[in-house]
Amino acid sequence: MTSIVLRASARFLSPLLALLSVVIMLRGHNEPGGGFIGGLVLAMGLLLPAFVEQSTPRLNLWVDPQQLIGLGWLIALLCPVSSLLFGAPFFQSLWLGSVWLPLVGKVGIGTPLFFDLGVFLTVAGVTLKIASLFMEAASAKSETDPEGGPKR
Amino acid sequence: MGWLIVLLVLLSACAGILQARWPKLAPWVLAAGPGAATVWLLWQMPNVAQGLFPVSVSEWVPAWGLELAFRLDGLGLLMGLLVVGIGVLIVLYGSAYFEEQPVYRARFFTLILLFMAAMFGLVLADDLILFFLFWELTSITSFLLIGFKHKEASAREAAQQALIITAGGGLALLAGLILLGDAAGTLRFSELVAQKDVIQAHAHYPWILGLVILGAATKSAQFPFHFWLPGAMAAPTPVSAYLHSATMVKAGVFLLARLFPVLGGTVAWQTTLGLLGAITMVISSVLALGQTDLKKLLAYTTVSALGTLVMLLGIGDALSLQAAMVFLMVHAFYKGALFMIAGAVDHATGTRDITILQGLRKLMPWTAGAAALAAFSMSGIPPFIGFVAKELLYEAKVSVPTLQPSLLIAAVFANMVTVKVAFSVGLAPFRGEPPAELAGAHEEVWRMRLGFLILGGLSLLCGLAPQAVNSHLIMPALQALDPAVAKLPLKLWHGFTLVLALSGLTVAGGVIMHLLRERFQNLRERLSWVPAFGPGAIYSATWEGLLTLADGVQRWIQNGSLRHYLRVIFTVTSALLLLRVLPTLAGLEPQRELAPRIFETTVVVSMALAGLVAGLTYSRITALLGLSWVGLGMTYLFVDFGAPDLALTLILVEALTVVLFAVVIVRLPGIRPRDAGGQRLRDALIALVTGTSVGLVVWKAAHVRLHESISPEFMARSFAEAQGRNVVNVILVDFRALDTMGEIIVLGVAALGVYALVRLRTHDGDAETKEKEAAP
Repeated sequence: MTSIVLRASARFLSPLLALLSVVIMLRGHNEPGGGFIGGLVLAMGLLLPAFVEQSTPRLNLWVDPQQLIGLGWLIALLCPVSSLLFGAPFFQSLWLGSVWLPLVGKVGIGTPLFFDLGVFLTVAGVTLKIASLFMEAASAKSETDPEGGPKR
Repeated sequence: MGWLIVLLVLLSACAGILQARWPKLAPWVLAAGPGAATVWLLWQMPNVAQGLFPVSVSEWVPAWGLELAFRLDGLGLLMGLLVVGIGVLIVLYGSAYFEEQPVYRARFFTLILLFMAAMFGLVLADDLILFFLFWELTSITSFLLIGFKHKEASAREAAQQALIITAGGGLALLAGLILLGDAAGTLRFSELVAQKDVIQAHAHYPWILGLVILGAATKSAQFPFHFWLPGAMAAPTPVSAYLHSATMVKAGVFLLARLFPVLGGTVAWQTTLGLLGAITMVISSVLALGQTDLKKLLAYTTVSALGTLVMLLGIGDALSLQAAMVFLMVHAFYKGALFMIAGAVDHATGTRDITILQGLRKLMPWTAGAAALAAFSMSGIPPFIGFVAKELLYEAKVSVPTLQPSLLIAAVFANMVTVKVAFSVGLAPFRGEPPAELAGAHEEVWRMRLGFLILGGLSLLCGLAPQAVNSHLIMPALQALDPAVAKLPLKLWHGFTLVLALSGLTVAGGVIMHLLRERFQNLRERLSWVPAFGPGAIYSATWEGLLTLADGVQRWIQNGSLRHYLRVIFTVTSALLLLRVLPTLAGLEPQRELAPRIFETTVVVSMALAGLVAGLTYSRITALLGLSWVGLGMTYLFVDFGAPDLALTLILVEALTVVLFAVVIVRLPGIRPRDAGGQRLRDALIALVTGTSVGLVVWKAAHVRLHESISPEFMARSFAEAQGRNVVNVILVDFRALDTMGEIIVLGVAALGVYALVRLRTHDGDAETKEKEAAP
């Protein structure tokens, strides 16, 4: 885990993967990709530095993965609810228009896109949460408990 | 009518906030709920007496024919007035009882109003299923109220026992009500009456009767289910006064009265209920004799009173029914009052032991006065309404010539014990000089005294004007039981008859029992071997046995070995698959488009080899690499068959698996060679069979087409209607978005599950292993 090549490249790869994940998510409606795949890529990108920097991998994130899950659920749930508010049947998609984005191309703006964003965040959150828990468990066993006993 | 129930529920919901913000105001605001219901009932009284029953019906689940049907008839009016009328008093009483404990006070308000809503709904419900719903709600709220002090193990145990018995009986009742509705072709109580002959001639009648009686007997604490009621005295006294004397335990009797015009009058009804009530009456009277705790004494006589009511409904002639209705009301008055008094005494002195309590008259004069009123009514001394009830009760029995004299003897005995208890609870604690340890006792606040003073006063007032009570409450109720009933009088004075002699005998016997009370206290010790064989003991033994069995089964199935789980899951799954698929395989041929091509064959063969390596190796890394190869091969196949999204997802999942595995692999022990030999062979066999069975299912699935494929439809609509060219994504986020919603929720919950498991291991895991090591 201390390969110099990996360490050097991780610094570039991590943000690149994060950017790529967004691109994958956005273009998913027309090209291979989408929220699920994008979420996995984002998780990979964010996990990468954890493996490079330390001998026992630890996740240092600016956001709690658990909150990502909740946020994803919320966004995904708001889409069908907003359809209801506009008098359309539950989960009927609403389209507002489309924009052109670099790297992605034309992206339709509408509830399916936001729904996919919710999927994206949830999948990334779940993956990161499980990974961080595994890391925590793995490192907890190698260190001794500072309080000298189990917590009850 | 429904809005009154909603009002009570809303008040229950607001109780916590009210108590926190305006604790002084809270009891009055909350008491206004049942107060409004009482006013409404009183307002409807003339209508009901004339036979104009208020009805309210709205749709509930039309597909199942369920309706929110409410109807107020005479029986409902009588019971409803008891429920909400005493409800007002109990809210005020409880507010004073828990004055010093805001947490308890809020909890009491919330639960008691919720219970009140359920009980009021039960009284008004005209739909069988709606009735059952409220019935169960009273069981649940009763459970919560008995377990009020949930930190005490005894309260939890009593609550659980009461719930298991009453809710268990509730299940029987549900079956009975469904059979009843089925036999009658209607779910309305009010329409059942017309179907009486059809129902009683129906083949299911014995079942209906048995199940309904089972439900009523558990709720109203009839033998052999009587033991939960004394146990329920673990609840705070305001709760006992309300639920376990005046209202909830009467629900069973109420149900029997409701169904009397439908199910009653047959020999089966008469013998079952007559015997059930009489046995309950006698046994609980014997059990009451040796008690020294105020609440236990009252509880056992409550069981006895419930037995009396059931017996009267069982006999079922007009006089008995009238006696039942009068006694139902009378008992609620005096028993509610005495329970509240017991609570006030307990509150003031800190004890409920009748061997200690005496001389409280000087310290608590108002309480003593109300206690005397209630006790005289309970003893059946003129001119109290209790006397009227008892006269009627004896008259009903004497006037039925076919009746077993033993029933009369049983009733006299039970009433003697009732008189004895009335003296022990209502009079003895207040007589004489107060001992030094009780000198600090003092009268409670007015809110607390109001309840028992009113109920005690009513016991006297109703006795002085029995005719008014009769024409406004009792007769309308009686007409609900038997529409053809002639107008019966209700008199205080019957003249010098056999009945009066029996009444006198009862009081005399009761007073003698009271004077000899110290002898009876030994009786309990002498009879202490009885509970070991009683229904309570059988219940405990069954419960313990069930827990032991569950524990054993759990240890056997959930033994904690992941390999064991996998073996079981795979074996069972493949066995089920093969059982279903094998017989249908004859005549299937390989499809042409699945005919092997050289490159794919190579990939598949390499995947099989990699799988073999993964299975045979002793190195986890090698095994992981082998499995990864299988995954990569699969990815290739996806690409080859034109599914780029699947391929992308799969390759990412593969990569993530490797990453996650890399985190933990250093912590895992090597694959131990002890697995070599028989175990490995067995596992290989399971793997082979599982793989084969899944393969066969897939092969079979390719040949089955239950419906036209929807793929072309999705393809056609994807861009036109969902503005997306990637049909897989369009399916995920648009066509089948609800599925995706469910999937991401499952994913998140799974992450939380992993969280719980990992945290359990890291925090408690060490302690657990230490415990296991310490255990022999």
